[in-house]
Amino acid sequence: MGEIHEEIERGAKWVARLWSREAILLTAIAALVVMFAITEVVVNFYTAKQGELAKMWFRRGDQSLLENRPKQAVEDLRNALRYDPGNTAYQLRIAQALAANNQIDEAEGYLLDLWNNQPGNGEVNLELAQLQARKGSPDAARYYDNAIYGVWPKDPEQHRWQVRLELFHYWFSHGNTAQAQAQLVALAAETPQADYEHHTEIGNLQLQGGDPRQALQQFQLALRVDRRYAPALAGAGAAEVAIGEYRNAIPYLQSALRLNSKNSEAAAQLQLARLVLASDPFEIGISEEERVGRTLNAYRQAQVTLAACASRHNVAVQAKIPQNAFQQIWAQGQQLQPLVTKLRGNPQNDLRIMNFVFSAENLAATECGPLKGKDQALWLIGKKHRLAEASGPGGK
Amino acid sequence: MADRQETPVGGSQRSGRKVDALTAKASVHAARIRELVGRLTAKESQLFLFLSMVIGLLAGLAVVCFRVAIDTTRIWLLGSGLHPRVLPTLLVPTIAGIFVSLLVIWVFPQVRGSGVNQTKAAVYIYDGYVPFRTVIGKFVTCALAIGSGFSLGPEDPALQMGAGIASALGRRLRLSKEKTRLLAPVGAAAGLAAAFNAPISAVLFVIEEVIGTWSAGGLGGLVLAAVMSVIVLRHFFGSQAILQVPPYHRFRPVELIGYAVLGVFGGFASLVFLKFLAYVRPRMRRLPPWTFYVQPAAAGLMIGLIGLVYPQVMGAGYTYISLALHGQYSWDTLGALGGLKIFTTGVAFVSGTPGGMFAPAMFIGAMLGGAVGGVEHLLLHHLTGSISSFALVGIGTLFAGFLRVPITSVMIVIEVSGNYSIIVPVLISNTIAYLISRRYQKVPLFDLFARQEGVELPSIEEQREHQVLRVEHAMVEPSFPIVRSESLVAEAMAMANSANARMLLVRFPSGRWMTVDRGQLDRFAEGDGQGRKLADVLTADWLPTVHPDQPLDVAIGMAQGRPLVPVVSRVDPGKLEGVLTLDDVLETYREASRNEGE
Repeated sequence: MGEIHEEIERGAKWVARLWSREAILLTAIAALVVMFAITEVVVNFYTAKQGELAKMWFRRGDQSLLENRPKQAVEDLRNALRYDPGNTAYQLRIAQALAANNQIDEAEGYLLDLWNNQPGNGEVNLELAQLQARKGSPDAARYYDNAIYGVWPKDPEQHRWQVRLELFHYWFSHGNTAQAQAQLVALAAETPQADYEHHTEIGNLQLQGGDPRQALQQFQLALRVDRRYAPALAGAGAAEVAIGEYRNAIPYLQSALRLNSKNSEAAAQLQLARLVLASDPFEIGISEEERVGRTLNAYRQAQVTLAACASRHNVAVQAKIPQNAFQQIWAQGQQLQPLVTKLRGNPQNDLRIMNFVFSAENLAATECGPLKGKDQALWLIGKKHRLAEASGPGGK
Repeated sequence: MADRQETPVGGSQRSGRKVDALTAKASVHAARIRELVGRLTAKESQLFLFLSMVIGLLAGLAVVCFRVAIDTTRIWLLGSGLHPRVLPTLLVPTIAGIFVSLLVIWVFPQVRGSGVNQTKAAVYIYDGYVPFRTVIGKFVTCALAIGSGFSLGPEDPALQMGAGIASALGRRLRLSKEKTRLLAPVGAAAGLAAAFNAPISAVLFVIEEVIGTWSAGGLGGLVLAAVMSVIVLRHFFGSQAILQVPPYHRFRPVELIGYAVLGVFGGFASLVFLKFLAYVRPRMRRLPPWTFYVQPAAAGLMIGLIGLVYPQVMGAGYTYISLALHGQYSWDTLGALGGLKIFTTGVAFVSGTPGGMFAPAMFIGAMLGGAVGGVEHLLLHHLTGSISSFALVGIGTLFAGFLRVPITSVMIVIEVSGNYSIIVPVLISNTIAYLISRRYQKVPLFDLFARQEGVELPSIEEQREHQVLRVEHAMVEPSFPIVRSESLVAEAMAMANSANARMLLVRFPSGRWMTVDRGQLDRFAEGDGQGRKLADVLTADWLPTVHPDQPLDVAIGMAQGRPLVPVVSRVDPGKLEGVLTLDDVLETYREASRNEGE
């Protein structure tokens, strides 16, 4: 009986020891470790699932954006962000979707958030620049600049080149040609010598920006690398035409057309250059007969063009007292009638007649839109002639 | 053959020795661990701090699992998109409501409500006792309710779960009543910190709303537990804040007018929400008991119907708060969402569905803040800040006006935004909202719920605003002459005679004080005692001293059994500011009580 009592007492002591503070604390720590392990497994499964959902919604959003359904894209991308809120790629994409959906302020919210975390991110700065440009905010230029000097993880040179190009277009569209030209100069400087495609692109932009001499340089740089690069040949030809060097333009344009006969622009430029050369009475080395013929043709063409343009404005060119520009120039032409018959042996008369021609063509260009064919050639001759006149005897 | 036989025997001996060595090693290690744990548990204060860490870790794990459970339930029941399809939107909350009511009535009857009051009750009534069943009940019912789209939040349940875990551990460890009582708030802070990923706000909330005091012992545990739980949360989910908050730039002083207007709107919106709960909740509880089975389902159906047009009001709504903070909604949508959320949360809560009020309060604040900001932006484009900054400030405004936790309301905005420059607008808006709410709704939210349940829990707000009586309120000019201890007995007697005083106050150079009465002086004067100094004849029976700014409670014990207590300057203890008698103290209390009654 006593033994049993002892056993019970021993058992009670054992139980008491089992439930001592130390034991409970150790049990709690053990439970903590077990719970931690279980939670780790659960959370790994959960985060993997969340990641899958995020990717799934992102793919959908991407697809919607590609299919030009920005509203749906915004919805899908919001779902993606719900599962991966810190994902900057998702944030950038939703900003793009919002911008595409004309939710400019909302897009700006995301982009500014991204910008705050990564002020040097090229892509974010570019998106912000485009957004500001859409809003008409002057901040656009600042963000474009940030994007140019920002970080681009992949293909940074190409991205920077493209951003600068965009900045050129931005300035150009805002009528700030000085800034636009500055961007082109920077672009040209940043373009490697061997990159003839980019040189050609810059040349075309410079031509578009009204700087044919710089453009010609770029085309020539491109042609130094690849003499048979048709766009550069066509560009060089066009630049020469724009400068007024029609004789130089012809070989470039001929080469360009040999390589690409479908280049209608080059064909038109070639035709124009030939027409200018064939119509210019001041061309050196032509016979007197040729000179007289060209002057006469120009005089008649100018009269026809002036009368046609005036009739489009319901103006009769003949009037006793000239009251408008059409009638004044027409009267000026009529006054030159006696000289027309006395061109042979009197080359000084050419200048007076051709002055009338230029005035008539200029007025037609102003009042009746762009000139074509022979009229355009005569106008260009006039332009070149006036340039020569303005620059004085030493000028070209 | 013998060799062959010996080999296995030798092997078993070797392996036996190995086992013995391992056992000895293991027992040494076990003894060391036991010693370590024993040393740790020897002192209860040490154990308390260690336990706070363990509780923080456990609560953190529980909250992580809770978050996973809510989100997984939502994906299962409502789909992974932000806009659920029509049928699930209507049916899921309704059917879930039925299950929730069955669970609450039959299995977990103590999980009703938000959990804050239950934790307070544990501290003040049940000696820190929170049944562990409540932890499981809260986890299951709230995951189901919030996951199925009920407009409630996970924070208050997390708070109660933390308190439950802490309480269970405290009971098992047979801690003292005082420490067990303190453990529940420690767990509550841990649970709330993990739910918000904001340890400072959680600690402040528990101090502001649950315990109401800044006791050093408790504070250490609270902070440790909150930090540990947040570490656990961040281990699993990263350090990302619970809300994705865009950057805020410095505001212009003129914009503060706009935030003041937000404070007014926030105050009245809080009032609407509070009055709705105050009016509807007791009436719902007075309905016949059978209706308790259908109330959550009816609430679920109503939420589902609203969710067909505005799915944003379903669930806790953190995603939509982030969207509002990013300026993704127009002011009219924000206003509609704020108003509807007040209704859906009110309906969900009064139906008896377990769940919290924190996330809905944040949602309502963000939406209404954004709406007010949007309108101000339309009217005064150049005078106001961004809509998203108004949304952020709105969060704090509702916290101050609705939950009535002014300090937490400021800290929560800073912790979720990580931006201190927003603090001035937050302070202005929160203060205005708090004052308006307090003016028109005397009883704060959690006290209101407690009183509706027939429990009189101490109101921390009332305690906070209760006028503390100080010594300066009760002290009077000394009616006894003051004599220096270097004075002769004869001089002291002469002073007493001339002033006709029965007692003198004796000041010692050390700044200590004593009293001496006429009888003592007569005794000292016997023989040639008249020429002796008082310092030489008085036996050290120093009077305790108090300072004018000390609480009056401190002085009661001191005044007991003593003719007076000197009130001395803090700079110069020898300079008497006044004296305090027990009668003066009691009269001051009586007067204060009469004033309060009036």
